[in-house]
Amino acid sequence: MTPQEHIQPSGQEPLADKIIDRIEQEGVVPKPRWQFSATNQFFWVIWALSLVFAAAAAAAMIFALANAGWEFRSVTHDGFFSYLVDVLPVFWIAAMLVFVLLAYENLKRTKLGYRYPVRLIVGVGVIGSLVGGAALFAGGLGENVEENVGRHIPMYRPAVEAQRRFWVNPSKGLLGGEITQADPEYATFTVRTFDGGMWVVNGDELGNRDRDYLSDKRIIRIVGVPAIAATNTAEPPVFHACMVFPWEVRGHAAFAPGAAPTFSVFSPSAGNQAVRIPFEQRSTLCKGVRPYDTLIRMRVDDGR
Amino acid sequence: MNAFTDERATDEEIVALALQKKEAFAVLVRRYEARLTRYMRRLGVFRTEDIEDLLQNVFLKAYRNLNAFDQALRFSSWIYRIAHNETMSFFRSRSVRPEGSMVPDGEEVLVEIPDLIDIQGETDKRLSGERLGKALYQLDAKYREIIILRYFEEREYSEISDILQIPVSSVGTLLSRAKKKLRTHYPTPPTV
Repeated sequence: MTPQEHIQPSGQEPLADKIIDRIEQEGVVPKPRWQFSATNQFFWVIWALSLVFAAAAAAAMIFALANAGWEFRSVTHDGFFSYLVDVLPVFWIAAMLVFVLLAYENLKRTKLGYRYPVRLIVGVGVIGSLVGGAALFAGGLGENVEENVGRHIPMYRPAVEAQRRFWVNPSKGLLGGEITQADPEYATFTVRTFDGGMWVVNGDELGNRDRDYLSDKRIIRIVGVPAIAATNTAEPPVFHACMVFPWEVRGHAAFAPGAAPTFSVFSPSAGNQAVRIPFEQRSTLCKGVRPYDTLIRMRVDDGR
Repeated sequence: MNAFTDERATDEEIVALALQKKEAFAVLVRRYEARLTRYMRRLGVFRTEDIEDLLQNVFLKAYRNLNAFDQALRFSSWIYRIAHNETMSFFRSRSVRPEGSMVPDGEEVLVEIPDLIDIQGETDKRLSGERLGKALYQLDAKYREIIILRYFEEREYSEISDILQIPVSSVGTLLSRAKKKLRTHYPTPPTV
């Protein structure tokens, strides 16, 4: 030790003695071990909870993405950017990242948390949340979180609700809702749209695939053209159907209370046997429907 | 000789004893007093009174938190961490930055550091403590701390990780950057 490293001028009390004196005089005692252990466990618990919330946010994000109507984007939207703005689950992505960062902040405060690199903690947090979120989504919890939590978030519109709004736009040729009444061959059927409106749908020109969907599903989406405006408010307007697609909710919570849709029992009315129009006699109405070509391609890609 | 005054006992054994008998803690104070004094000087605390106050705070805090000491660490890393944090709090509370970095001319590291940081132009391979002190002073605190811990205190990467509470991988990265910065700040010796 060099002379300048001594801090204690000669004649003064050694530091060790001073420390022991102060410990005695000030009654300093070591804090109990359980306090440190409890603090450490608290941070681990908050870390784990943060990851659970991050996984729940990821489940909601996956649910929103799975029900973003990707395959119908060119039908429901005019451009890709406007589609992204409408369907990107920004809130859930942000919520997941916030919880992952919260997990990181808490892990860092555990006893040896500083030893883990940021990239490792955040990377494991994000991947873990996505894997956990995928599992929750598969179990139907994504829908619960997305709808039940989303309902309480100002300005937030749940993904399925947003899709319903996209598909109640008859002037754009989009109609979605529940079939309430139909002829046996679906030449004419009635649809109650998601916003409660009633439409009589002309299905003369629908193909076999469309009719399969109509007989399989009670909730459908229809691409077509509004044909005849209602002459009075008592009569529903008429919609000319060009194509029918099923309405499906991916990651649907099978046991969620109130989540399962309730429909009136579908029973095609007897009589009025419709005669399907042969292909060569079909109108050209559907050719004018803007997304028609895209939809035809979807059918071709589907192999039917 | 009492067990707690046995200077051959390891730090960890003395910690266990100090939890039973506070007098044993004096052994740890004696062991680390000089080392921590030197470390604080290198960090830039020059006044003897300030160092004494800081040392008292460090040892009292260590005693109060003795149950928090984790046997997964070395005691020296733990006490250095407390000393480091106290010194940084001292600078913050006084709203001052370190007044320099004291590197006495007698330091052995002055012979080795030109090779360690690849400083060109040092024909006699011996640096002046004053010039190195000035160069260190110009570094950001995070770079200065890591240079001091690695080359002056001769701490391993894992110990530096435990003292500064950063991942071991960050120690390597930070040290590499610190050496580059030190090279740029080190004044070129006047040509004769």
